[in-house]
Amino acid sequence: MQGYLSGAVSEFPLVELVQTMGVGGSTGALHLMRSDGASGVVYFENGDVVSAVEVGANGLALGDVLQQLDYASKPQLEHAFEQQRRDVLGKRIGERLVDMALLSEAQLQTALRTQIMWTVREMAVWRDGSYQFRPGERLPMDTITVRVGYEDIALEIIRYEGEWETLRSFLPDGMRTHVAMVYEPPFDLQLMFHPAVWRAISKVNKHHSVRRIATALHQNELDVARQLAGLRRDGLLTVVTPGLAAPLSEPASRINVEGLDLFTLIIAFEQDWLKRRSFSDHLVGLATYVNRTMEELEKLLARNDLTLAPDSLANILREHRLSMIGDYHLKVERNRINTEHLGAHSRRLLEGSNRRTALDATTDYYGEALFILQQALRAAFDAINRRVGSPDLRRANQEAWEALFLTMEQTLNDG
Amino acid sequence: MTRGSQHGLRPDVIAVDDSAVVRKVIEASLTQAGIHVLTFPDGPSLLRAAQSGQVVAPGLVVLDINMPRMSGYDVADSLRHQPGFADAQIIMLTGQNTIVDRVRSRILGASEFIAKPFSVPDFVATVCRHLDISPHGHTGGRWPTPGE
Repeated sequence: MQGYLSGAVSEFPLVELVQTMGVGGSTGALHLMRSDGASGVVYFENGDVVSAVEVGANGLALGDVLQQLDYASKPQLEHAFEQQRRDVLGKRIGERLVDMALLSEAQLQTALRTQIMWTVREMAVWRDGSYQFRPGERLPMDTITVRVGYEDIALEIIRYEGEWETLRSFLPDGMRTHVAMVYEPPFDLQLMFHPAVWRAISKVNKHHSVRRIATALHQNELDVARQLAGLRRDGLLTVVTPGLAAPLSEPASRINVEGLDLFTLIIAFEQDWLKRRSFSDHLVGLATYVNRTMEELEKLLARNDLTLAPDSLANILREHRLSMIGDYHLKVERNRINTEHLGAHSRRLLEGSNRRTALDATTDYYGEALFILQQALRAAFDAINRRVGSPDLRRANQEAWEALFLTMEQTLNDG
Repeated sequence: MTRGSQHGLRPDVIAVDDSAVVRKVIEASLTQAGIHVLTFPDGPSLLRAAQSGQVVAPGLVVLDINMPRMSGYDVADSLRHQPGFADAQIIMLTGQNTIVDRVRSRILGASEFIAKPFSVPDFVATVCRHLDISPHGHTGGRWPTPGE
């Protein structure tokens, strides 16, 4: 924990933290935790904000933003989610909608930018809890698709805080507030509604948060919050405890690989690795670990009624340019590397000849194969890890597999 | 999460293993379960910390048996002479699951013997059982402050 900037958000509000990170050109993750356990993370890359997430099912999802901006409909999102269910490690929702020509690249950028701005502004009004900045902790580079300058974020927070002062007494948990109609409206109230407010009323029930109502209405959540706050002020709505509301399944929560126990796998791989002695054994071992990882992922997905596309591993390897070892093409079928073929090829090259002239070629092959297969395992871990919702677990997973690769390197140097 | 004392840090669990992978996984999984853990890469560094009062005996010590500088058996034996550690429960870890290891661990007073590779959820459950606690997922709304 030494060296982390940390403290209470009451003493150093998020708006000031964002400006501090921005001016300093910082790269890292700013973790926020409320005293009730709610948490979130803002990722910075050279001072720009590149991602912001509120952890948990009620955070602002890209699907919420796309609907609130009226860029996509629920059936279109469901269709994209359905595709992702069949190819969990494939493209993400936004990319799929762009591929289907349902969304333009510019709209996707706007939605991602909006998701960041709205998530940060919401976390900026947390008045209790703590923060911790972890320098260097970052998202995988290829998942960064949008950058928002710290000045824009700070302005949005200041603007939102002004609004929040008016709304907070009516919607105490912001966009997560759940509201319901009161059983009896005030007796002397003359009821007259603007059609937009009537539409909002039609979506109110105790299971819906402000955010969910706005998403269903295809309206900006702040506009809807203003309407609902007005209804509360007039005594027509009451705030209900979300814990009492039945949890409804959000599409995003259906695609969750958090249950995959990477820790157990990594320990098993380390123990197996320590027993492997020959060069070809090392290479077959690494390919086996890739296969085991994919197998465990398939089992987990099956338990959740999800599937992995049969070419997921081949696509991962192709995407990272890991399909070839010299002129040898890794045989990959249905998410498994053919270890028998790789083993036979490796033994032929590494152990079948002791001629001096073959030595250089042998060393080259081993070095390249080791690198390619380690990278393949890293890519498989990473493809899974980026679907893990908890930033803390993502970081811990990555640290564990980096320790595994370090151990491999040490045993190779010692051996 | 961390409880300081007048004498030094008092974690819930101390784990000693020369494998950086095992140390990292134990740290992450027990921390996730709300258990404060300190790890050491070898026995001598734990014994130095215990002798100097930097760490106070925890409820549970997890020891790898096969370590290069000092075996888990020797660490367990030395710890028994450290104030407070005599009462700490011990779990032995080993990559070689032999009957000799099991018997020797029992003779040294270890209350559990876990063979590597192990299931991490099972490991966490075992630790919780020995500490007589149930795991929880967050740290009550605050991060441990530096140096805590």
